[in-house]
Amino acid sequence: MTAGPADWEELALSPTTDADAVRRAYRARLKAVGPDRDPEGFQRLRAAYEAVLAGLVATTPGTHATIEQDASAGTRRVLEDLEAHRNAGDEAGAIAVIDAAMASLPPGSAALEVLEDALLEDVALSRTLSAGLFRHLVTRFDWHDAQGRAARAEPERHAVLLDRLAAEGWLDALRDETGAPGGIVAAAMLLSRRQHVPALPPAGFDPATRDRARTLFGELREHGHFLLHRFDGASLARVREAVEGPPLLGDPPVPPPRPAAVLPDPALTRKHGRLIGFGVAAVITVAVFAKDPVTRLLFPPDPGTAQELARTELENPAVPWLELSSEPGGTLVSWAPLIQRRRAIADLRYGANTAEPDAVMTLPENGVPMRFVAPPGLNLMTLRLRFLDGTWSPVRRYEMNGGPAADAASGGALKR
Amino acid sequence: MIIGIDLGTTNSLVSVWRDGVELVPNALGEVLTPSVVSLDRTGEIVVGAAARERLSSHPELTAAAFKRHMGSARQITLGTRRFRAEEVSSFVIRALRSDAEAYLGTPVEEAVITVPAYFSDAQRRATRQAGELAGLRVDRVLNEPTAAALAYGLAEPDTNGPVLVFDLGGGTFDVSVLEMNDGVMEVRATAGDNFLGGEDFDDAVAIWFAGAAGIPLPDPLEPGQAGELLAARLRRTVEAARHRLSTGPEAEIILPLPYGGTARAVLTASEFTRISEPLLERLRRPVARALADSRIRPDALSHVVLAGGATRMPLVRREAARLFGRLPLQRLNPDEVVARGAAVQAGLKMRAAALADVVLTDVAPYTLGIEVSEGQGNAPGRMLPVIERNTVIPASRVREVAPAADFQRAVTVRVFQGEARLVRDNIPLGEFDLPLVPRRRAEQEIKVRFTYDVNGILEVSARAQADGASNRIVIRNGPDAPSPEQAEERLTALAALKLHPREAAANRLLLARGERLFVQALGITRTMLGDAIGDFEAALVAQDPAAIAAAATRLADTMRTAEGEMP
Repeated sequence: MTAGPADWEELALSPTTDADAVRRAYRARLKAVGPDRDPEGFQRLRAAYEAVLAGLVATTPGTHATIEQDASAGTRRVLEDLEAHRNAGDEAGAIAVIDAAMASLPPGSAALEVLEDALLEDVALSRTLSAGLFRHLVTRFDWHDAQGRAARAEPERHAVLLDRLAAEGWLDALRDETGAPGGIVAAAMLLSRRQHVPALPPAGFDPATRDRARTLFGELREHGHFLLHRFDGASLARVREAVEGPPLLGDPPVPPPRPAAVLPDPALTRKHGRLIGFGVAAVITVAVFAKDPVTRLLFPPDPGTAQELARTELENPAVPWLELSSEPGGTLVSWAPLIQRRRAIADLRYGANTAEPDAVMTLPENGVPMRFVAPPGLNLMTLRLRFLDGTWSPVRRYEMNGGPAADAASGGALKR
Repeated sequence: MIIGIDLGTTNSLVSVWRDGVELVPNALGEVLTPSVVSLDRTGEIVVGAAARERLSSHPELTAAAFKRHMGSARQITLGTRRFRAEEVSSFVIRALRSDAEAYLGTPVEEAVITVPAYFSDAQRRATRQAGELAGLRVDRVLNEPTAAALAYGLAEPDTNGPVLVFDLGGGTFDVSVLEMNDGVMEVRATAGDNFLGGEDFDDAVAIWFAGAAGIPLPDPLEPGQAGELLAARLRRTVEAARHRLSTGPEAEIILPLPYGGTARAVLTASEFTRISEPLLERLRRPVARALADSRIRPDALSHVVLAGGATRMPLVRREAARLFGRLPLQRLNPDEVVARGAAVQAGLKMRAAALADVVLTDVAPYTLGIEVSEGQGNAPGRMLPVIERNTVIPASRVREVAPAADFQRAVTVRVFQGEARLVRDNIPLGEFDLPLVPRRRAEQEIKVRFTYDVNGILEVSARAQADGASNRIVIRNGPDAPSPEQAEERLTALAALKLHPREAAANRLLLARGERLFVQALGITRTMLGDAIGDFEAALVAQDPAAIAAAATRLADTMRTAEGEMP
């Protein structure tokens, strides 16, 4: 937004880059056109003021360099502590780490924001994050708030976070349903492998229960990438069979048309699509679901350990290693997919404008920007990984800034 | 003359601006009037200290803390009559109004009423209506922390820079961050919790006491000696103990039981801190939200100001100091500071010369928006913010939307308030349909405009750009609010209820105290109290000043004896 001459006139000020002068001018004008005295005039003044301020480079009062430095050291300690408790499966201990960190940091302080950002970046979207710790983080950092700091700072991550929150809420509701009359479907879906299996009605369910089951399966599909690994495939298969009978495939429920308004802004839709790239979202699950929901529900991926999961994803050609997007300044390259799965990576080699990745690359650590804008001369990046068991992956090619002739087979569907 | 009213959960105050802030005393000479309403035997309404006494003696005829139900459909029962929270509140405002008229010697028709900054749209409308039911034109609904800041701005004109107001009242908690510069006060951000206040600390102590003393927690909804009467008495005892803890290291709580014996326990400051921990924990989130929204670091704040009676509690002050890493300011009486600010706003409204340089800008506390679906073919249910929270008001904002499908004949514009991503987690404010000439969605652009004024009245309009069809709604009444006809009917019904005369307030209070002691007393003391009360009532009915004075003295003496005998 740029301020026009009319805005400066409204403020009774000649154009300046001094934000304090702008604030002083606004306050002086307020005495004549306060919100009580002249509501219309005030709104014009306010609009001019906001336009002018937005045009100036944001000036932050004072420097927080040392604070931020101390903060990132403190944050690293907290994250390491947290990781240790999580690896040990000690949820209560992990929660205590968070609480202790928060007790020592005043709300709104720079140090707390550094910690919050790091948790958002590194922990909040991890698929192996336990439901209890996830909820605790959401509550303590007020991540419910769709207009809050986290949503402003990291809109895409925050949107994924809210998706997981919705998924957890759905799972809770499913658990509650097991106790209610007609909760037989929910109960059967939630059975774990080791549990005793109660007999489902041999003749299948009655029509109402079947409809309920179809709805629940549809919803599970929606939340699948956060929840599916917590369900037992055999139990889901049994329920499916009781609903649809042995032959495959029924029609997935179609949402009824609704006469509501939609956003015309295509950017928002595209953004949502891009979210899926973030670690947890496990593109595989979603992509396969879209084609063949029921088959996929029969054989959900074995959760395995976090490392195995990350490796499976890295080996999947549909999962990108880098995220590329065209920005006005050039191609924006994000390391996010690799950082998300770094548990599975022992070694990373890259090549800039060379077909063979021969340079050693260290993955960015916490707190380091995980995106960069590709310089104009960089047209091709090649990447190769060594997994923890020592095997090397095939080479992947990523073209940027227009790139040389495309080699569609190896690059994956990344060009936008 | 415009008066300022602080309509609190526990206490209310009335104030005026006459070349400065003046707090108006009630008939008993006190500036705090308990927000308690009771119906007496003659069908008259008793408000204030006397009604507060009647909480223990006539709980079924008495209501307190009704501000918590403002704007909801919940009914408050006084004997056989049922009221909405704004109707009960209107009795308190009527009493405050007559105090102000007696003090000023002129009729009063207009008022500025304060509300918690985090009050919702419906709660603000209900407050406004309470004023109107008391026969006042409500000139402005002012946020309480903003009022506190106005009072500080006036009392300490050198206060410049960002200030945080930490306002913990009887039932609500608000945090506002303001920028103060030479009389210009700009609210930057506001956050709060509408269900956190001194009353919650009392609840926590009452539950702890029942456990510590080994008695079942009395149920206020159960009639009788062991139910509502005991619950009311426990509350009173607990509240007194909490106040004693503000000055001493421990407080003994003693509760005579109707079924024999006495329950007792000693509450130490550290025990009180322990049981209050979950409540103190809830103070953090609004502080974090207000600071983040204002983009002001806690170390950049020039002051942290305390308001609200509950900030008298040492543990709340300690928690505030811990949250901000500094000692907060409490130079003005926290019970009075909001009422003082209301008087300043009333002065501003009357264009008082001394306030010519004072300007105040406030913000919308909640995000306001409409329901949309994100992307074509997706289910609706998303909230599209139109006016984001902490937007400076008055404000007008436009968003462009399109219908979900081609050739739609109408769209429904649903208006919501709240911070959640899905509208089902937000509060519905109203809806209307916009008929359309069917077109492809690409050619069907709809502009939705929200206009929000300083009093929080929201107007929403939608216009189809292609053919100019438009529709609008002014959101004045939430789904729970009564219809205009019902409101008219209630106004007439309420007007028929008489407030107990102001002049008789002192006698009324003495009688209420006597009755409270009577229900607690046993044996011969009880008989003597009963006789003294009977004589006093007879004298009141006979309206003989000499007899009233004599009976009052005798009742007061008997009460002193009775109090001395009680544990």
